[in-house]
Amino acid sequence: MNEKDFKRYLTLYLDGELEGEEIVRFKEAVEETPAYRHQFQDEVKLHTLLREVVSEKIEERKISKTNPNVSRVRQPRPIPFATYIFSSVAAILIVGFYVGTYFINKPVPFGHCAQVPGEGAHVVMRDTKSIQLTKGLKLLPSDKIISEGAGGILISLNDGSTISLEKDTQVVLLDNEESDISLLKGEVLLEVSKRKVGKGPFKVKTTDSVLTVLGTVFSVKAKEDGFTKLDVYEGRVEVNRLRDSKKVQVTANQSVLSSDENLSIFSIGENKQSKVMTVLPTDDLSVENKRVKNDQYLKVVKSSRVIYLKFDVSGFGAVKKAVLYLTQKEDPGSGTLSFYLGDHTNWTENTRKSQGLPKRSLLLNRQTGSVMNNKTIEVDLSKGIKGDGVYTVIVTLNKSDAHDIWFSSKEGTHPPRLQLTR
Amino acid sequence: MDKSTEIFLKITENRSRIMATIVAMVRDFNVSEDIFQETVLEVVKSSGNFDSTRDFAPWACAIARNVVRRHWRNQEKQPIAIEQDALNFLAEIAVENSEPGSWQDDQQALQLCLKKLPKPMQNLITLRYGYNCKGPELAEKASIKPGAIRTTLLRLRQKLRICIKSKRDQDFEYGVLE
Repeated sequence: MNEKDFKRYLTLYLDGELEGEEIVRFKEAVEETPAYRHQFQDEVKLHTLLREVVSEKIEERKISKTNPNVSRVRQPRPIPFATYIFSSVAAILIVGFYVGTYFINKPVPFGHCAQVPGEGAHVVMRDTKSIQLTKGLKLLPSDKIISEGAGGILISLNDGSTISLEKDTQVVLLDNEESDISLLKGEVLLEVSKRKVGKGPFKVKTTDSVLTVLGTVFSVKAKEDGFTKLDVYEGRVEVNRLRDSKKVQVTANQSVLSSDENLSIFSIGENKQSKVMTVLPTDDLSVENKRVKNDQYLKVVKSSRVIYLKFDVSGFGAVKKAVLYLTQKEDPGSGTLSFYLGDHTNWTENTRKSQGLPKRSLLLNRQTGSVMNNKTIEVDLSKGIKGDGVYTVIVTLNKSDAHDIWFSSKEGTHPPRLQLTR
Repeated sequence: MDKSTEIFLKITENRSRIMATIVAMVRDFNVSEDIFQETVLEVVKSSGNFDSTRDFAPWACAIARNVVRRHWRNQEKQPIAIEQDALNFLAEIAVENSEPGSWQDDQQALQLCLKKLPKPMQNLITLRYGYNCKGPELAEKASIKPGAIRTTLLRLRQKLRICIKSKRDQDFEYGVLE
C-alpha cells in the first residue's frame, strides 16, 4: 500500500467508514510497515486526546454559563445619585436575569435514591462523571444508574413511583415525552403511582419495545439474548414493539416475552423452560361477509362469519400437545365447529381487507354441540401445532342464523389461549 | 490505600490509553464512551485477578477489548469475524509501548496547541471532536467543501502533532495553517 492510500485508509478508519476487506488490508499495512505502524499509533493517540480535551472544554463552558462569575474588584469612587439609581436598577435586572437563568437551566431532580445495598458496586453516570450511589442522592434526568454485583437499589421518583433495581442492571432516567426510564440491561421492579392530570402514562423503554403502564406493579427484564420479559402483577401494561409498532396488552398475572421475532404472552410462573406454556394469540379477528372485525368478540357462523387466530410459539421446542381454549361470550350457539390450519401467517389483526387472509389447509379437529353462556371449550390442535413457529388457526361453524357463536377475543375479558405441553 | 481506590487511581492514570483501545476498535466516540463506562466496572469487578507487580494498562486494555467484543455480540449488525480480529489487533498495537506519562504530557501540550489555531479551525475541531459531527454535516456546519473536510482535518492533525512535539521538546514553534 502506498503512502497516499495509507493516509486515505487511515482517515476513513478513524471516521468509522472503513469496513470488511479494507480493514484487513489496512491492518496488514500497519503490521508490515514500521513507518505506518508509528503513524497509526500517533493518529489514534491524537484522535483520542482531541476528543478528551475538546469535550472537557465544552463541559467547562457549560459550567461557566450556568454559574457566571460576575465578581470584579473596582476602586471606589463617588457616584452621582442618578447614576446610582440607574446602576442599582441595572444590577437588580442583571442579578435577576442570572438567577432566573440559573433556575431555568438547573435540572429539576427526577427523584432520589431511597436505598442502597451494602455490597456491590453501584454508581450513577452523570455526563462524563461517575458518582457513587448513596442513600438520599438526588437523581437528575439523563442519569444512568448502574447496579453491579448485588441488587436491592430502590429509587423513589418525585411522582411517588418506585423503581427497584436487581443485580447487574442499568437504567437511564429520561423523564421525557417518549419515556420515563430506559432499561438497558438487567431487571427492574416498578410500582407506578397514579399520574397527574395532563401527564401521560408512565413509559419504560427497552431495546426492542416501549411499555406503557396503565397503573400497576410489574417487573421488566432486558435479557441478554435480546428478549424483553415483562411480568405484570397488578393493573395493565401495553407493550409496543419498536420494530413494527405491534402492540399487546398484558394484564395481571401475565407475562410477555418480546423480541424482534417474537411477542408471546403467558401466565406468570411459566416460561420457555417449563414443560407447559400458555400462549395468547398475537392477532385475532373475525371476518363477517368479507368485512374484517377486530373487537372484543370472535364470531362464527356458517358461510358468513369465520374466526382467524395467530399464535407465536417460537422458542418452546417440540410440542407434544397443543390445546386451544375459547370462551363463549354474549351470544351462545350450537353446531359443529371446525378448526383448520391456515396456509400462511402473513397477516395481522389490523388488516382491513379479507382478501389476503389465509386459506384453510389442514383440518385439525372438529367439535359438535352447544356452546352456552361463559362456557370454555377446549380443542386439541396437536395434529398441526408440532413445534417452534407461527401458526394461523381458522375456525368455522356448519350452522347458520341463530346458531352463531360469539367467543371472547384477546381484547375481551377471556382471551383465547393455546396451552402447549412439551 | 485499599485495593479498589488503587484500581480507580490506576484507571484515572491510564484513562486515555484504555479509551484509545476502545476508540481504535469501535471508531465512534459516543459508543466508545459508553463502553468505557462498562470497562471501568469490569476492571473493578476483576480487580481481584490483577497482579499488582505487572503493568496495569495492558491488563485493563485487554479487558476493554473483551467488553467491545461483548458489545458487538449484542449488536444486530456486527463486524464479521475477520474484521473483528483485525480491529482487535489494531487496538492492541495502538497503545503498545506507551507510557501513561507521555499521554498526559501530550494532552497538556495539545491544550496549548489548540489555542494557537485560527478560530475557524478551532471551530472545526470542536464540531468534529466535541460534538462528534462527521461527513456532510460537519462540512456544512464548518462551512467547508464536503470533499475537502478529510484533507483539512488531516492537515490540522499534522500541524497539531508538530506543535505537540515542539512543545514537548521545549522548542515551541507554531506554523500558520495553510
